[in-house]
Amino acid sequence: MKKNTWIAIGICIALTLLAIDGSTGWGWADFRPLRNFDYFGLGISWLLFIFVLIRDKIRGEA
Amino acid sequence: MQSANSSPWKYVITWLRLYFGAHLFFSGIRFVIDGYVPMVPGLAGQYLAGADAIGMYHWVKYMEAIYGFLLLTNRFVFLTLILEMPTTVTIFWLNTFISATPRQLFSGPQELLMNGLLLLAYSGYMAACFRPTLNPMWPWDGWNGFQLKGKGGLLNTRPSLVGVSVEEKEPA
Repeated sequence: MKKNTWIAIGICIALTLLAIDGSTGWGWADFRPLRNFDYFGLGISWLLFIFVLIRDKIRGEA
Repeated sequence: MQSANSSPWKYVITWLRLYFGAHLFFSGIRFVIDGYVPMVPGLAGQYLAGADAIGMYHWVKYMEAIYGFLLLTNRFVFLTLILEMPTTVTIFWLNTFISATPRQLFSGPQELLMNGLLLLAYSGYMAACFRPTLNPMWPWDGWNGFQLKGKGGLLNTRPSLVGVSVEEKEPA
């Protein structure tokens, strides 16, 4: 994959970690485990994101 | 700066669209399936109870389910982001200034950031609204400016910015 695609994946991982920290409150609020809401949001977004990456990789765009 | 339709921004925007879409879809479909209304203490809870009592809450949730589906399937994304903005601002206000617990101080701005950043990413299509003077124009007349094949072609915009090749441009 191209360098810019890896940069995008890095940014998305950082945003994912931020969303997880925001939901759990780890380190700054009373800890609350991830909810189904979080599993669904992050799971679906990453599943479809990987699908887009593979599709674009096959097309030679990613 | 790289165009919004070029890597890396294209993929960051894609992930954000999918995450916001899944977030809205789950929130909406949960209500559609089992009528779940969160128990929120204080003034924010009274606001939600009031919205529920006048029958507005369920419309918001049905809209969230539809908007989430549209964002996930990449259809009418810009329109969806505009239509979702009033709900986003309400959530932002309630969480940030009314509830204002540590977790809500994160989730309120998060909601506004997700919708706002996505709106920013697509707002090139509404650049005309930043002009100080405009003549009236019906939407169906404005539509003539979008006659390129592919996704989001603007007649007078460099085709590479919106992801269509020059060959795809329809003859005038």
